[in-house]
Amino acid sequence: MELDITQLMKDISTAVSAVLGKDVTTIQGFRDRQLKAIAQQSVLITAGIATGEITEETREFFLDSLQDMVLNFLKTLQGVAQVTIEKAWNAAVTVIWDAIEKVTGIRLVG
Amino acid sequence: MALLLTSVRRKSIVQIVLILGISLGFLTGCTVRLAPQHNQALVAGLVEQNKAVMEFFAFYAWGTKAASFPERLPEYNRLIGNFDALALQADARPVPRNKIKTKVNEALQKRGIPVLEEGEIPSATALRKIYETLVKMRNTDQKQGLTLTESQAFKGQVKIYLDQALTYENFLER
Repeated sequence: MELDITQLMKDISTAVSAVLGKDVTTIQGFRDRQLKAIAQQSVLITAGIATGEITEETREFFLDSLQDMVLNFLKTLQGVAQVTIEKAWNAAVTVIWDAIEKVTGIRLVG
Repeated sequence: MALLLTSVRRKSIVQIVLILGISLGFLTGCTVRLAPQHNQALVAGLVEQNKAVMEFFAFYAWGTKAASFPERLPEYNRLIGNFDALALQADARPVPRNKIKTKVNEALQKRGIPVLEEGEIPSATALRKIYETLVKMRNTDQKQGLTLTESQAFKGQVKIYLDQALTYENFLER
């Protein structure tokens, strides 16, 4: 019995797509929410500084925080992308190992 | 930013998995872990403090006067203590280190996404920032009270960080 390459590719694609379908929607939702909220926060801070409603006591803090927020948003995106890659990787490896086990009859420890 | 937006697209993730698969030749053969373990107690604590802090902000949405600060101090201290504890809890988990993770980081970096520092957990950073925001808010309130815009800005900042922390922690449930 030989490994069916076409079937294997199809199985890997199905397994990985199942992971990606749900995660990509969630990631895009998070990205859109964050971009909108950070833009709104920037507008609020800018207007507040112009009118004096953001006082000297908090001005530097809010300006520095805008940068920190953007940086951690990007790092959070990287973090969730890592989890998605982990799930996709594991799904693909499981399919490959199952296929090899079927052909060889050898139980592979993953 | 354009690179970042592209990076979360399905095609990019498929590409990363394929590139890694080919470059490593699926040599490990085993399933891997690239991110910390999910912690249900931490998520439950986050959900609870999310509600508590939003109720607090709703109460003082129009700003505050320094004269009435002592009335708010116990609630400030409770929230600050709870977020400090959550940040510690989030940071206390080990972060996996392996060859595949290094390759993933390289692939993400090429797509313009800043790479997490070794051992860094983005939700823990977000929770520490919430703690710092509440400390700054408390100290400003005590000194001079808060204007309406400052109240809104503190709330906006905490909401953004809460979204980052909750999204990441919920994602870890795989």
